[in-house]
This record gives sequence, C-alpha cells and structure tokens, in this order.
Amino acid sequence: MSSDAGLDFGLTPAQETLRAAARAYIARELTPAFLIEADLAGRAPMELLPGMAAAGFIGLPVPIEYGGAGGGAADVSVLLEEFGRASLSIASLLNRALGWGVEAILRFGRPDQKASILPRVCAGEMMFAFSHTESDAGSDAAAIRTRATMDGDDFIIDGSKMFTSGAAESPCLIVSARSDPAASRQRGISVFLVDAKTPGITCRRIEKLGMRAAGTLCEVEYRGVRVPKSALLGELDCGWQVITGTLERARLAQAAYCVGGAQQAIDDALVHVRERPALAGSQALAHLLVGLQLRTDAARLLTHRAAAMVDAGQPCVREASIANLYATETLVTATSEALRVWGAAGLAPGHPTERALRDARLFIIGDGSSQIQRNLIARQMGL
Amino acid sequence: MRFAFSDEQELLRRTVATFAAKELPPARLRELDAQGLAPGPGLLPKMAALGFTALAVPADYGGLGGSTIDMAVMFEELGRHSLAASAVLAAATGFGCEVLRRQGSEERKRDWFEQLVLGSWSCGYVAAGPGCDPDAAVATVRALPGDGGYLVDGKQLLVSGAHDAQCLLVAARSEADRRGLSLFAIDPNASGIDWGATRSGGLRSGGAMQAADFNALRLAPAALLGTPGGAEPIVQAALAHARLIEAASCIGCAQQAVDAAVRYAGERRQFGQPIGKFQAISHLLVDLQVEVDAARTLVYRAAWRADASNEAIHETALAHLAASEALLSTTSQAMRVYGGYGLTLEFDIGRHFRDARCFVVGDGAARSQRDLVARSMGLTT
Repeated sequence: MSSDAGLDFGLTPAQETLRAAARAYIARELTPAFLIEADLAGRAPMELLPGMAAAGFIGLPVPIEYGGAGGGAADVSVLLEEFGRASLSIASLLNRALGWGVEAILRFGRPDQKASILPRVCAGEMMFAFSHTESDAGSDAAAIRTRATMDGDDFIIDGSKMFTSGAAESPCLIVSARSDPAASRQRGISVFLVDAKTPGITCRRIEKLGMRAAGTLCEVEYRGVRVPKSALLGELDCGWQVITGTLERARLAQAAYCVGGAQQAIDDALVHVRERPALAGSQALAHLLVGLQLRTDAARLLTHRAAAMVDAGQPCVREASIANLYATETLVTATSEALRVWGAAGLAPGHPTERALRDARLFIIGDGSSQIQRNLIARQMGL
Repeated sequence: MRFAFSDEQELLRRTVATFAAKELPPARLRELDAQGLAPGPGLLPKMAALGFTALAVPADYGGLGGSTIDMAVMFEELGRHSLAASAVLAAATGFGCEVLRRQGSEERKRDWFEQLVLGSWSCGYVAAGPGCDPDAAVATVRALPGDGGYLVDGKQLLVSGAHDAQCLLVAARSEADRRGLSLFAIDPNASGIDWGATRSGGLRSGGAMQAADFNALRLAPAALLGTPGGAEPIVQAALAHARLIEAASCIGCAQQAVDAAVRYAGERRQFGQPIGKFQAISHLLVDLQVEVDAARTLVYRAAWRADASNEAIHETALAHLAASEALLSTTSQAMRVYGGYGLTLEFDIGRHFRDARCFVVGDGAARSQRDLVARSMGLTT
C-alpha cells in the first residue's frame, strides 16, 4: 500500500514565506493604535495600498506577465487569513484590490482590459467596488433594474444601487445593469468596468456598525452615466456568468479572513485566561475555548479544501459555499463567545474582539447570506 | 495543500464497499439488530482475506504497511455500512496493534502480527483506573513485583469485548507510590480474573462490557511490554490511534445517515411536494452535511499529522470530539426527517441513533477529550 497519501494539509515553503511576510508587515504597520483609530473614525486607510503592493501582497493572484506573482486561491487564502487576524476591515480592503475584481477581469476581460488594469492592480493603484445590489435586489440578485442603453458607441447607465462597498474610494466600479429590457431575470444583464470619476455618479455614504475601516458603504446613483462599449466586461447580455462565475473566489476570500478573525479572538482570549488567576483553572472557559478552536480548525480546513479544489481546476460550488457558511458563522460564534472571557473589559471601544464582533455581522449577510448559502448547498445535494 | 486521495486509497474504499455489499447488506443488519445482535468477530477472517487486518501491519512482518490515512479511509468506508463491523476490525488493528508496532519485542511482533494478518488475533484493553486516559495517580489496577514476576490486583468496572479477544493489554500501576504505569499482555481466560456479568453495550455484540476483578493474578516477567513504569506515552499514542480510526468510522456512519435522509426527503411527499423542497428540511440537512464535512477534514488532518510526525494526540482529540459529536447530532437530527418511521426498525436511522451514543461516552469521552485539548492549548482544567 502506498504511503503517498494524496492528502496534504501543509503549507508550501512559498506559503510559509508569504505568511511570515504578512506577519512582519502587520506587526509593523497595523499597530493596535492604528487599527483603533481607523475603526473609530470610520476611515479606510487607503494610504496602505502602495505598501501592500510593494510587499507583493496585492499582486499575489495576478499572472506574472502583468507584474504579479501568479499565485493561486490557496496562496490568497493564506494571505487573507493573516490580515483577517489583525483586522477584518483591512483584509477586506486588501481583497477589494486583489480579489473578485481581479478574478473577473482574468476570466472575462479582453487582453486590452487586462493589460491596462492588472499592472495598476500590482502597483497598488487600483481597487474595485462591486455595484450590483439594489434596494429591491438583495438575495434575489437577478432582480436588478438598473438599465444600460446602447447609444452609438456608448452605453448609458441609469439606476440606483444600494450597499456598494468601497464606492467612494475605488477607482473602478464594476456595475451590473440590464442591457436587454425584453429579457427577464438572469438573461439580459451586462457588467461594465466604470471609471468612478465618470460624470453622473453620486455616492451617499451609509454609516455602519462594523467593518468601519473597510471603506464606505454607499448608495450609488447612476444618472445618464456614459461609458464606452469597451467598458463591457465579458459578452453583452451575459453578465450573469461574470457575476456567478467568480463567486467561489469571493466566498473563499471571505471565509479566509473570517478564519483569521476567529483564530485571533481565540488566541487573545487564551492569553487573558492564562494570565488571570480567577479564570486560569476554569473548566467551563477551557471547554468553551476548545469548542471554538475545533470550529476554527475545521473552518480553516474547509477553506483550504475549497481553495485547493479551485487551484486544481475542479468544480467546487458546494465546497466553497460550505467553507463560507461554516467560516462566517464560526467568526460570529467565536467573537461572541470569546468576548465572554473578557468580562466588562471586552465591551470597551477599541477592544479587538469587540471590533471583530461588530465586523463579523457583515459576513453572514454579504456575498450570499447564510440562508442563501444553505439554498445553494441544498441544490448541490439534490434537495 | 492537496485534498485528493491516491488511486490506491480509492481502490481500498471500493474494496471495502464491495465487501460490505456482500457481507453487511442493510437488510441483514436490520434483521440481526431486531434480534439484539450485530456483526461479530466471525467477520475477521473474511476481512483478513481482503487484507484489511494486514493494512496497519508493517511490511517487514508480512503486512501492507499502510499509512494512518489509509486506515482512516478503510474505517470511514466500513463505518458507512456498520459501526459494529468497524468495532470488530478496530479490536484487531487499533489499540493493540499500535502498542505492538511501537513497543513489541521482535518475537512478539513476529508472532502476533502473523496471526493478525491471518485474522486470528484481536486485543482488548483494560485501563488502569477510572476513565481511559493513562493516569497512574488514579490507577486502581496495580502490578507489583512478586513471585518471580508480577502480581496483579485491582478492579476495572468496564472492559469491552474482552472475551472476543485473544489477548488483553492491561495497564497497571507499577509503583507503590502511585507513579508509573506498566503494560502487560495477558490471556483473557487466565485464572486470577473474576469476570462480572455481561452488560450489553450500544453496539450490541460489539459493545458487550464486563467488570474485571484481578485477584493476585500471577504474571511471568515476559508478560511485560516495554519498560516497567514507562507505559504512559505508549498507551497515550495507541489510544490516539484507536480514537482516530473510531472517528473515521463515525464520519462514515454520519455521512451515511445524511445520505439516507436526503434520499428519503426526496421521496417522501407531503403538502403536494417532496419534503426536501421545504427549507425547514433542506436547511436542516445542509447543516448536517456541513458538520460532517467539518469533522471529516479534522479526521483526515489528524491522520495526515500522525503520518507526518508519528504523533497527533492534540489533532486526534479534536477529530474524535468533532466526529463523535457530528455522529450524535446527525443521527439525532436526521431522525426528525423520517417522522414516525424513524422510530421503527424498518429504517437504519434508529440503529445509528442508538449506536452514536457510544462514542461520546466510551473511550475518549467527549468531556475528557475537551480536557485533553485544553491542556495542549496551555489551559488547566
């Protein structure tokens, strides 16, 4: 019987190096005081992007020919988990630079779009805001009403988008719109790469409970926004493929930083329990933390499993949704439960677990709520 | 990171499935269960004929030299069909086999491994005291030097399957001052042991339990395995191995319970549609599948770690905890899907539900596994 198992749960030497580099960067740049200030002020620290680019983090998934490192989904998971430990907001900011948008352009972009945009990603000059959700199109993502009307060599976009994360900071808005008014639901949708400075775009900022350093959450109005035909990402009327074809990556990215956030909440609680004589011998707290560690280990492994499948070119809708569902719910549980061991100290503004607890609420809602993930998994299970 | 099994492992899985289809068909298991019975040690020679007992035996001793991951694959598939059959194979290739591999004398390895490969050897374990973890401080069984060898005294309340085994490995305190454990190999039928009445365990025949009362049981010096007083790490490692393959069986059974409930939910119609179309049912089943997937990754991570570093006590405790709890909750929750039919013996879910209780309270009880993990996380309990 061969001892070559096929299974390998370890990190590659390159991933170990990447993780060490991320840890060094985080220790240097993302100090507790810096993170508290950004959270309380509700300020996205955009000034970090060039440094994260110079360290090679942002270009990680970009192919070498465009100036990136050509890394895979597993590599990105390792990176985002580390950033998620320090700050879910900044992990998400990083992901808005290297994640879904890059994947969509790699999969559906024309050569000229890749050549013009991807080098800017690697330089830390680009960030993407996905402008899709509308007030009446949330979990029912195909119900969008924003219109894109052909006008000569241009399209005119009209409509209103709700909850576009990062709209006010991102140079590039990825906007979905109905290009064929006669087609229904998933058909007749197109996706456009829109320069955020195009006239006719206005953002209204919405205050939020958590993810306060991740950039603005906006309601975006598109009034007669004229974009050239070349702004089309993918085929005309085939935008639904762009939206759904890259969802696995988005769900995995989210899962990866949720794992990091959960692990950090546990690690911080462990230090506190060990240091406090009144808590150190408590079996109740010890078992609580064991339960959280079990869930977090499993969440990490489920994320790595799906990432490895993405990198192996295997379909993994089910596995990516399972990883996302499990990891996001684990973050909610881990932050909420770990906060117990801190007593009143954990409720003070600036406490990292308190911050992570507020941040965690986004992930069980955004990019497919837990209920939507269950619907998707159920379909994969033949239910 | 790579999450794919080797071709040999896929073949092993199919071999076990083929064996189970022939020897463990669901109808026969239900019939046995209705009579209070389950597959027993009679299966062992048949398993041996297919190499199942040889898998963990080193190649130097006529075995297949399989990895821990290979073992997990075999037990996961066997667990899909019958936890009782898994228990039969585990009695042969679990605790005792691992002690032998780590600590057996050359002579003993030649002898026992040969019988194991043939399917004519299995082994029971008698812990030194309450609970299963080797802890000399609470040991009630003691073996002190005397009469040119050792004299064993003391009582152990619950010993599983002792009379199905050819050999018993007994842990016993070896010093008068409650330090040090030694491990001895004895014949279950030796005089000097009073066996209590048989209590039926959850796995029917596989779970029969008895009290063992040792009254000046006389052992020759050769009965000792390893060094006197040095058995704790060996017992710890062998228990981890046994728990790992048990955890693999648990996830196999849990997956089977989910698959069967998913099929049933697709067939059973109420309110004009299959009940699986209702989110109340489909989301329940999804959550069970997610829990099984989570436990499964922990089980294979522990197996991978055991192969990579020859020790995975922390990872195995997490895996056993996750797998046993996953089996408990999947069987308990999946039972709801069947409504009243779940309470009959016409479906397998009732048997799985009952069997599932064994693994959160037996060897490696969930609470003690939490203590074990807590200690490795630097917490005192």
